[in-house]
Amino acid sequence: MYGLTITGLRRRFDISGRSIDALDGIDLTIASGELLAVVGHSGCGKTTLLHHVAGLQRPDAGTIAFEGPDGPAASARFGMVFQEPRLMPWKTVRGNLELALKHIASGAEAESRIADALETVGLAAFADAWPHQLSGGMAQRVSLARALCREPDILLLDEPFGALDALTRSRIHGEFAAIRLRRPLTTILVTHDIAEAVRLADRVAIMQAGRLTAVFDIDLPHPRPLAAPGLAEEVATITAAVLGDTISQA
Amino acid sequence: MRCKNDLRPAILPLSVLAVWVIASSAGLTNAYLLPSPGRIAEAAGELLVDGELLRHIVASLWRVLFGFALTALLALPLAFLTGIFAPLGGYLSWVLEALRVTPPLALVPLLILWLGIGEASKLTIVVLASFFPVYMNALAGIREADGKLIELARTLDLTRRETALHVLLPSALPGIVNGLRLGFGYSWRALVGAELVAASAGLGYLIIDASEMARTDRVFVGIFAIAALGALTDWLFRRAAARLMPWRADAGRVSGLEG
Repeated sequence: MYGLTITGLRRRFDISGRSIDALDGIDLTIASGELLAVVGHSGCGKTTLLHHVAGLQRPDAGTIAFEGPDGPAASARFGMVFQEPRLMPWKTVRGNLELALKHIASGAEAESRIADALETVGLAAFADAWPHQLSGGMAQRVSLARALCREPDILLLDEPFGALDALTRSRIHGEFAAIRLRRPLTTILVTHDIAEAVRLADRVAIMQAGRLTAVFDIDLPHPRPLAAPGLAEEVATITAAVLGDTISQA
Repeated sequence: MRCKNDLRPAILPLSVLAVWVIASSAGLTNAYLLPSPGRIAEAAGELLVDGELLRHIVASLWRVLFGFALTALLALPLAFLTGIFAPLGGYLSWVLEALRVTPPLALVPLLILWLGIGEASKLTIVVLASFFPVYMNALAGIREADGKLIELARTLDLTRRETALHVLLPSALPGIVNGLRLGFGYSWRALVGAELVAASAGLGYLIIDASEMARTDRVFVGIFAIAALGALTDWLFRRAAARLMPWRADAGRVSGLEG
């Protein structure tokens, strides 16, 4: 597991002649094994932040430093889950996971990792299914398994449960929290669902117009069902902060 | 909605055949202009027995298959190159566009002058006729590859080669198969046209030779042989498509033409 430190991260986009600061000097440290949720309005820059951490985009300025078990590291291995499952339609569930292990494991080790990951997300019986045979929730669990089988140093979740119906989403929240209890993983979760952030995260950061405006520690014990004591209050506090009704606690 | 053993497509041709049989039997048709189905079947039998029909089919089929293999070897790699390296497509666009809109049969006189009346001119016509459907469909398939899957490939640390193999190629496969299927149909049309002009064997030659001998029944045999071979090869394409793309429920009718 890795920790990471983001320092002075800036990224400006020119859209129709207008300059927009998608990232306007982000400073953030995420400890090894921690789950940080980033919440904010659409267009606040949270997905851009995640893409920069994943190396999918390059910043105009600033650095992202990784800290591995043996000290500073030049890069890290990521497992990424997007809003939509992004499964290759021409590969079975197993084939999709094999592709994710292309440069990581092969043969018996790959098979064992695939079996473990599918077991973890409760889809061991669906290894030979085609993506079009899966429901939306199942496909998203496969994409989570694809990220987990890589045994990533850092897990990046880009609104991974946003496209699911409310019941499926709530169930997957519980499953994901249980997975993290068994396998703590450094995780950045980008979401617009504040209840989701509070249920899953150790800390919740609020982004507005490319800046981090507040970071909240969530000290509730796991598991955190929706009716858990204190959860509703945390959700209300953070919602108010996102809406700008409270003074930043950062 | 269609079920597996749908017989609806057979209704129209069987009805036409029935009307044709009745009209011929009643003496309502001119036997020279429209021989009876029975007379055409007899002519087919004669051509089959003396081996002529098979000789012409083999000659045409060989030209189509060989020419079509050349097309695939040229068009598919070029589609990948221009799909991945867009500037290359820019350099080639005028030449390809000019060739695309020129009917291959318009080139027959020139090709005969340059290449003679041997196989080379007919193979060239097959290649010219089938190149563009194959090239354009494959190119569209590559260009329409899902950008989100390419982004995913980056997060999985796949190399460019692996991305081409595991993302672009399967993504383009429906387009490739569709293009091959269309191109094959175009090959047949152009080949028969070429054989009408300059050949000593082949179904096109059979038709023109029979016409000159006033054997309309044999003309019909040639036409039906072409139609049957075309339908058979199309059916084989659909079967191959279903095998190549098991993830697509509609792989057997990739072009949207039901089969």
